[in-house]
Amino acid sequence: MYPCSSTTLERPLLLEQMTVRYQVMKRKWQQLLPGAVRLRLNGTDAELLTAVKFFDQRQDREQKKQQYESEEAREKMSFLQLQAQVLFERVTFDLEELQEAIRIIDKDVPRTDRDLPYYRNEGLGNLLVLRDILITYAAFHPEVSYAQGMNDLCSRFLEVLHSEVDTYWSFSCYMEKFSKDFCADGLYRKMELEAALLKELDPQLHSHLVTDNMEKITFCHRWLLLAFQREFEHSDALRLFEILSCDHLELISQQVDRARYQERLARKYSLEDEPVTDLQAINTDFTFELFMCATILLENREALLSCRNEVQLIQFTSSLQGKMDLNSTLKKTEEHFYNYCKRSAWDYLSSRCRIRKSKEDHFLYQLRNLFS
Amino acid sequence: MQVPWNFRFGIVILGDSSVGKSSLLHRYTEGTFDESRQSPLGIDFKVSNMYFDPDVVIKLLLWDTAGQERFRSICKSYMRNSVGCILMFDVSQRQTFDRVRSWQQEVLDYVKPNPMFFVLVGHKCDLAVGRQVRKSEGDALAKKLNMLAYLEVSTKENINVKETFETLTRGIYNLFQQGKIPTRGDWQGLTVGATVQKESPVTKKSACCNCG
Repeated sequence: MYPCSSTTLERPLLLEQMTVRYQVMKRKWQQLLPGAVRLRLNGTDAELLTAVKFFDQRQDREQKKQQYESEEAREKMSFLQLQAQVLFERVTFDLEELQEAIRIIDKDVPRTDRDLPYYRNEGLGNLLVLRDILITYAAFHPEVSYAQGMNDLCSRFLEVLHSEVDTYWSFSCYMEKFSKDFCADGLYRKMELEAALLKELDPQLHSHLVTDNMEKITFCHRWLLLAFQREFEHSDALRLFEILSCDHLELISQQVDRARYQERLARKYSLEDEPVTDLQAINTDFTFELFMCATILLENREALLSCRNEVQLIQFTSSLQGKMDLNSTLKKTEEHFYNYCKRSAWDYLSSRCRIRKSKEDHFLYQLRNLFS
Repeated sequence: MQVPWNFRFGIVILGDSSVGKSSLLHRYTEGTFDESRQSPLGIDFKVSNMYFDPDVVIKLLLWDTAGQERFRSICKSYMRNSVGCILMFDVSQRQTFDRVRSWQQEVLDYVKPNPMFFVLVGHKCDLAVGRQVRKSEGDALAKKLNMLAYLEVSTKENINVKETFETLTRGIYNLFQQGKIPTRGDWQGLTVGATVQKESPVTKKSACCNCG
């Protein structure tokens, strides 16, 4: 949530600023839609009533605490508030859209997995914190708004960070990169990529699972949307989420970027004026997550090949829920990932060998053989 | 538990998000009312057998879909593999009723040339206050849109839940017996399985007898 370049000294100040900004943002939609401030209860869910009670109590306590703050602190706060208000003054909402989003959020928030310890007893109030975060996000990101599944995703941030403000900003940062997965095109694109990757790894399974209209492979969609949240045990799923979000072993990671940058620099300063061959070595869109999905498919290759239609496929994949072992899956995924990189490197060098018949030939051949 | 079946119908449950599709299915297959279920992302499904007439077993593949627009593309293939549709709206949310017509049109366009038969369900009829759609309006719309029936359902109070599934299945079955539903080899909406026998059926024709 903090910019990478910020220092330890700056961060507490940034946090203050972000806290106030979040509050101003939240207050803005609350003022425009006073009817939506509170969760609409239909009176059937006793747990939810308790949740509201806990949430209200907590808010009261926080308000009382604020009253005892010093003059100086309050002055600083009001300055930050003014700043934030100016910042968000011009933001306008499509109230109709937002109300629709809130309607779905109100339906979905109670459906978040509340058997987790985090939501037990007084923790029930956290459901309403989650609700505020999701509505604020939807209000200020109308292009993304709210999509089912975001509650599960955001809940993971909240559970780990246990702070409304931190969760909001972390979730927003995460969504900068992944919000497209929650839009119709993004979903489709991800499944297309998965299909392309599977084609590289196992053409036979690919032709069995992938048809022109992508209908069969739709069963992977839930895995990819929520990073296998429902397939692994909860703590494993959390760990996996962290692994996937840190971009380690990803072809777009910072390290790779830096390496590419240095390569470009080196090329710029080299005096050789040879034509630069732009061969596509690796497809950087293949994220680790896609490899993971492919690994699970390959692991269950035989079972999948014996499925004759969508019905059997979806039955089979539902049967996997909660049954997979994270460590072994990760290990196998890593293997597939490295093999893919190795093979791509080999292919790339091979084609370079063919193109350049120069003095380096011998060296390139040697290099290529390292990857075979 | 494998029961030989004579017919297999694909049935898809559609409607705006949060009108109660999953809870209807849950009530029908598990017999309980549980509000705090996870929302289906994309698609979820259940299998259930329905027995009627003497010795006719109909296997129902029940597809539960996510109502949100952006998940629609995921659900489409399951629409295509269905012969029946339970189209739901929430009687306390007028806008969900207003969108019924476009839902039906979209489905019909998508499954062409295969047929699709609808029942219209006005859900949450147990709510005494806040009702925004009258029963007569539901009846009229179902008739106008050529649907098999309109039912007012409450999953919570278990009103008309079984009847919804039975009305749809019975309707499709009758239409099929009248020769109004053609079967195609590559279409999985309606599949004929074992031939109906007076004694307990033994043979299964279809290759897909091991699902569920």
